[in-house]
Amino acid sequence: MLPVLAFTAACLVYNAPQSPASVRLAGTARKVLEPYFWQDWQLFGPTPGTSNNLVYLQARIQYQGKVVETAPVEVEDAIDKAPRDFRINPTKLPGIMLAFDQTSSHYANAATRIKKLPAVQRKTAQAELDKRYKADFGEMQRFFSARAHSLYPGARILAVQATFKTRPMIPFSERYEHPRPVEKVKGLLRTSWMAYVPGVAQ
Amino acid sequence: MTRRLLSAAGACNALSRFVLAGLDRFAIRLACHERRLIGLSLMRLVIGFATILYCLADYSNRQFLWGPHAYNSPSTASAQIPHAGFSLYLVSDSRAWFELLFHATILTSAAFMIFGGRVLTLVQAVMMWSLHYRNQDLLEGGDNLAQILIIFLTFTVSNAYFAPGAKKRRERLLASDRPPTVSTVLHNLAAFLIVFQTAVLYFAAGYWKTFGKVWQDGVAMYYISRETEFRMSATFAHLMGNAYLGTAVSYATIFMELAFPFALMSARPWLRKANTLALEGMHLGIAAFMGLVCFGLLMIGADCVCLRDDDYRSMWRRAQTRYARLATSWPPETRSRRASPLTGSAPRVSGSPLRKGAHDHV
Repeated sequence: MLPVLAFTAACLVYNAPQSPASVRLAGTARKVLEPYFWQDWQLFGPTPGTSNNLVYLQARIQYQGKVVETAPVEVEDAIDKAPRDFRINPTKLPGIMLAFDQTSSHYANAATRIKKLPAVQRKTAQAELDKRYKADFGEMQRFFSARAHSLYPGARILAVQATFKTRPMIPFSERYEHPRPVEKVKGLLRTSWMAYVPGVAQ
Repeated sequence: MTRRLLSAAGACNALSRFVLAGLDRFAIRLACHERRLIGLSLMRLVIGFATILYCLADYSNRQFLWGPHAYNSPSTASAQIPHAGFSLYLVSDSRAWFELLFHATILTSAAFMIFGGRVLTLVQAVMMWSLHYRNQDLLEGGDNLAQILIIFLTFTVSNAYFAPGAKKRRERLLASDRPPTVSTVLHNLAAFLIVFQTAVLYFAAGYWKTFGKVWQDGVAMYYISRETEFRMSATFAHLMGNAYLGTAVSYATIFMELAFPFALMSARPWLRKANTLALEGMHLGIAAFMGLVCFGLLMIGADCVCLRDDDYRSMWRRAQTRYARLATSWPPETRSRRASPLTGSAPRVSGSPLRKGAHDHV
């Protein structure tokens, strides 16, 4: 009975909204639940996004002895629409883009906050941020390398760069307007040029 | 003074007797026989099926998503696994190991879905956790719940229905001369925890939604239906653009989620059944209109355990009565042809898999 009581109490504290009491008990609740009963149900009660994300991919290619940059190609839209090809059991590929969009948004917000810091603290803070997101950007590097490979088959790709942008949805109040309102695309984050990683499975 | 002390001591004795009697009743209730057998069996079917779908949805992309040369490299995946987490996929970088494990996951899920049982549940849990931790970008939220619930499921009898030999197993479980066992207590506690965890999830989800501006405004469904990742149907997006319908669906979602724990605790079975069925309907909608098929299925599986065996039996009886009534209203030449596939006639009702057991709790 005791483990059951411990679990139920810890589960209630873990999922309780932040309060002076829950903050004090959160550590104990985490000890009971993590790692195997870790849970995050905020995913189930999200405030839906009011904009759609776009990702533009550019590649540096060795062409006739020169290094050329390709024009930016939007890659997210096709991935997001891929589940419609087989509706009975849709692909989970859009999950990757969702994860990347989230990472880029969090990174961009943190980087903006760092820019407001005093100059002496900025460099260290930026280095810490880059270290924290190293694995995530490593993932992006491999993903966009594979994408570039499929976009430019046979080309000698040297580096890839991704630009994250958002386009607001037409607000609810303007949904029947004619002509349809055109929402402006806003830039969110541009990665540095990341070295092309060969050999990622297609 | 002495009289007061005596009466206080008497009151204490009465209270302790009451508490002990209550605890006894609770212990007997727990050890007497296994509960929620139908819901747990349904959950087993759903988790197995959803895991197969999860693997097959990107079967052709499996090397890219989970393989040793995936975009999410084994070192990145290892870095993202929480402390004490594990993934068998990260044991070796060999392609053969990956293929073996991936196909073993599909086969295990199929075996778990068909046969169930504690050993297969444990193997399924290891395989499922391994697959989920190999690439966490692909998780949809329902996977988090499934990871927790499958741990509880290992302590339950999840193959008393819809499995080979289920009838014999059920007869043994529901035998009147069966002594109380530890495994029965474990089963019932685990079933309680599954229901509790699901109720906490729904309440938390409803609670978070009430703070969202778009949920408050009743326009959440409009924006959800317009997200490119989840836009599976233009008709659905159009319908959610309707001020009345969009608001009704947004508010109904919050209401159903917040009400769920209270409906489960309610003494009125119709309330429990109505709320659970409404949530299952919502998840069917999510699967169909947002393309989150595995998520929808896993949530439906969790919802299934929230209904008691009696709820299923009463729903089954009602469905059969309705069917029988419908069958009698058909023209005679079509009646015999239509009535035969389902167990519509009276003798077949008693032989249905959901019939009342010897120790039924009403």
